[in-house]
Amino acid sequence: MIFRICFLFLSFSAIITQPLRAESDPVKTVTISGFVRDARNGETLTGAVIFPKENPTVGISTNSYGYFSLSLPIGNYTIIVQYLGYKTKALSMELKENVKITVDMEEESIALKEVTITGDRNNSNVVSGELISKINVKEIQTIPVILGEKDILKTIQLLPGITPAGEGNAGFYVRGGGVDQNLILLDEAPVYNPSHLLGFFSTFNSDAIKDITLYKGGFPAEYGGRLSSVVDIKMNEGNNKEFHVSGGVGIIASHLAVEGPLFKNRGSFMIAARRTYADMFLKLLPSKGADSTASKTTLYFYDLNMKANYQVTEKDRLYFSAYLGRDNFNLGGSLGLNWGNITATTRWNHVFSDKVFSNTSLIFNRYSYNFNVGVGNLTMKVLSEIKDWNLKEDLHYYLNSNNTIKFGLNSIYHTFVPSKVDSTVFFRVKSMDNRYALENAFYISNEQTITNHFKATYGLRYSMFSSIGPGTIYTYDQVSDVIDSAVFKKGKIFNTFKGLEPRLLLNYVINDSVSVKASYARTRQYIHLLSNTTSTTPFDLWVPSNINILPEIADQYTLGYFRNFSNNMYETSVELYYKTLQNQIDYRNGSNLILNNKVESQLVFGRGFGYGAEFLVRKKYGKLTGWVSYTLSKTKRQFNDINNGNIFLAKQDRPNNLAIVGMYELSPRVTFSATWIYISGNVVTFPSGRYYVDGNIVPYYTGRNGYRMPDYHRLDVGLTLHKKKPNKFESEWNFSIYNVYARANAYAINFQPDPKDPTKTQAIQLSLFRFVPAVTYNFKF
Amino acid sequence: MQLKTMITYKTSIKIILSILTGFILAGCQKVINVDLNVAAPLIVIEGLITDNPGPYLVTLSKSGSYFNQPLLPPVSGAQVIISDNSGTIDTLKEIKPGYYQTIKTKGIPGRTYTINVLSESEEYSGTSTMFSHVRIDSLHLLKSQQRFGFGNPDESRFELHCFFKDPVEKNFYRIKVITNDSINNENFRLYDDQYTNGEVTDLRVARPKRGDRCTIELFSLDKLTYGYYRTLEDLIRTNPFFGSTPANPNTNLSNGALGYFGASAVSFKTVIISDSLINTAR
Repeated sequence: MIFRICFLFLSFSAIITQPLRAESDPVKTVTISGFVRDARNGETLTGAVIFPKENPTVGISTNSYGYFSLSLPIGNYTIIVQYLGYKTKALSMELKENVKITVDMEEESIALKEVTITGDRNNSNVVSGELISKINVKEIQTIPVILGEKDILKTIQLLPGITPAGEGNAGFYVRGGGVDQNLILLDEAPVYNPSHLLGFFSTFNSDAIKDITLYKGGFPAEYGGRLSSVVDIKMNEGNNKEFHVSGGVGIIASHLAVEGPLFKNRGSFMIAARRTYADMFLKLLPSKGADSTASKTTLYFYDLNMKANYQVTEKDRLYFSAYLGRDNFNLGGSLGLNWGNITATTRWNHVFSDKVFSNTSLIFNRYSYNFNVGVGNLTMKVLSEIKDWNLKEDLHYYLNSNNTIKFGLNSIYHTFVPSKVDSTVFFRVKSMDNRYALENAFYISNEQTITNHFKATYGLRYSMFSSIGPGTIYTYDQVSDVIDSAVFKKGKIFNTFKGLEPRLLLNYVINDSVSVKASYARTRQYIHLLSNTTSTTPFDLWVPSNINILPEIADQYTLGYFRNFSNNMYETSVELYYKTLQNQIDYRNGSNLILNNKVESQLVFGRGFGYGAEFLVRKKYGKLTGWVSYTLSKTKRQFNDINNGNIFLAKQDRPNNLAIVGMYELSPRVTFSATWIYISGNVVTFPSGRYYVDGNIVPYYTGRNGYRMPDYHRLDVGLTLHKKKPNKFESEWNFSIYNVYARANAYAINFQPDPKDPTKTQAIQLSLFRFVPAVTYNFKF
Repeated sequence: MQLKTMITYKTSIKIILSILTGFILAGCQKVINVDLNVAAPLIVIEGLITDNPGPYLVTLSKSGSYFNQPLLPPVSGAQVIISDNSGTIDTLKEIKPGYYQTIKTKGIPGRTYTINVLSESEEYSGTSTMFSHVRIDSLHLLKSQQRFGFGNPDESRFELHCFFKDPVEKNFYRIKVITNDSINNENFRLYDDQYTNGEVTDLRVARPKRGDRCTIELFSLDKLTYGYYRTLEDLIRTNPFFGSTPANPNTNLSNGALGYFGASAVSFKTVIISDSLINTAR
């Protein structure tokens, strides 16, 4: 069935291509293909734009591996290659036959930034058939951050449409979607819990990251599995020309990275490590006596990123990348908790022909936590994990200058271990049942230039999800009691869900600097994160779909107007979106998710919808760079079992969200930066009355999320002093202040009896960080 | 050794979460003004039939504004009827404003009781079944012990354990601890027999001091009443950072009434704490 759909689809694309071909001259076409790399370190550049000056509309951008293929009629051309922050290359050539080239791009020197030549600036945000926000780690290096720890997941939260889930929370909401609806990929491996220290830091060490590409809508067909966004993070590949060491010492963490060539410059490697010393926070705790447990308490995290690649032949390249991160918390030697992710990705790039590029990936990833309590022979250990084996095959077929076809498949074997209990005391506490599932998807898409002004990217993804035995599936009645159960043997496939996910993106290019883009995307999500708390915790549980938890489905429509000014120095955009969500999850009143083998009985299901307008003005060149982003939005939910079935504001609802990010290069040595954020307070459920039961004051609630916390705003500033010595030793001092004007932003508001008069209740506001200065020293040689 | 296993694990998790939060909270708290809506007052019904000899009380009051009304108005002049499945119909007598007393109702395990309240031309009702009477077999006093290696044993405190034989049927309990005539109401001490069904059950119920007079009351609950207390306890004792979205407790009363109506068999035992009781059963 799926193959038939693909066949129909391809025929369709061929049909609409045909008449266009007939119009053009029947001249022989040849292909220019190859890789675009950074001249300094040999890293491949993703998203570099290649086009002939003579016909800019047939341009193409490099794929995630830096590869491109462009078919042109034979003739003389000036091939332009552009990449932000790099000198534009113009290659004059006479194309008579197929050509393979490698373009080495040189970084733009600071002096050059001011005198860029007309027509050389990248306008791919306007003309490309993609809806992406791309951030290069280099661009954001000087943005001030809390405690001086650069954090790419925090930086993307400054873009329109993205809202932080809370202060000190690595989770974020994209266009009103849940935290678990973001597909966060680190070199293609999904990262299930991207936070350290309960979310105060993300798991991504900026030293190891090359760039981050964010999709909020108009998703390409190759991505699936989550409803609301794709955050595609690529690690550095390492310098294949010379060895470098870089590192830094900050007030909370230190980090070190090494990179260099391998196999006589046919490959390279990179290793980056980071370790925090958060234990110092413990000293701030009031200690109770000399034998305080705080002195025996540890709290820290570390992470390790590794990547290596090897050019086996002209046509084959192997990559291996891995990540290991762990948080460790130990209280007085008898209560321990550690959690973290592991990912490993092996990739094989193969160029089948000038027009066909293939990537095959084998990926392993795992999130787990261990909980240990007890001393001597009285102990209890709980292990919880989710791990995947993941196989991906992606093929890029550069059919002709007007059509780029991508197709492939993805197969994931999931293992869910919700909690495995090993106890010498609590022999009655049972482990929860493991679950196994297989998630498969096929996709095909075509990026087509239909006329000089009109581009369309259209695709289909077909996804399937099956549970695999052994497993017991319970059926529940209205009050969560088990009424039936079905036992499945090992290897038995059951509860299969499947469906199509159409994807469409239209781009009408009015001129070089103005375009209108419209998109539609359906996404399906088969695994879900359960957490009935307001913050994310390491104990949050991933569960697969089955008859009790139907797959989540989202449909999103977007319309955007993109316009660049002053020769692409300024990018501006307005995007509107409307999104509907099906089978969203919430929790029964008083639900219990911990060690509950029948956790599905605690869930209720409903629908969601959201809409909004996003505005962005970004200045990409010059001494002053940065952006202003503003989002006006609404996000709602409706559950039959919540709020009497009435629609209520979702916890993701933040109507106003403004971020101003500025970086000013005072001189080559001194950069000043500042960010200001203003976000509507999050919605909360506060009481509207009270009464007494059994002598206790009981609050009375009239509805879900009926109140809003005070607005959140904050200014951060940073100063970076850069020093470059002739012997290649570079150093940098980074000073920053988080929340300069010490705004007491509400983290939580609680009600408690007034200590002076217990019959009265008072509201207490808790605030986190107010005025946090930090200093970091970084070096590189 | 039988312990309140699940609850211990959950408590440990709660401890971890609060400690982790504690690290980062630099203790920045301030009292603020929050402008809350005032919901229209609703009737609050609180009634409990036990297998102790009657009469039993039902109280009726109205909810009030969250901040401003320390005393909530009683509801007078209502018609309150309690009936049971043996045919008894009892119209309660208002003995003082908002307090209604039964006349002939007898609390007998196995019977199902229904309350009907008619007030200001609105009708409210609720039903509860009295589960079997479970006798407290004994109370054991132990020296305070270290739990999981953290926290030092407090020499001035003891541990009071309550033993009872759980019947072979689904049971839910609430334990009330009355120390020197004051009731600790905040901790509902709810217990579900899912891991100890039909077994002799040992629950640590209190940590008294020397000389304390402790009365332990064991209430049997039906599922709805247990559900009410559990959601009520969740609401009153929620962790402000990692708690779930608050909601009204799951009451067994109809028509939007607050509170609950329950029927419980209750047994009790009293001890006065002294060193001579250590490691003996009472």
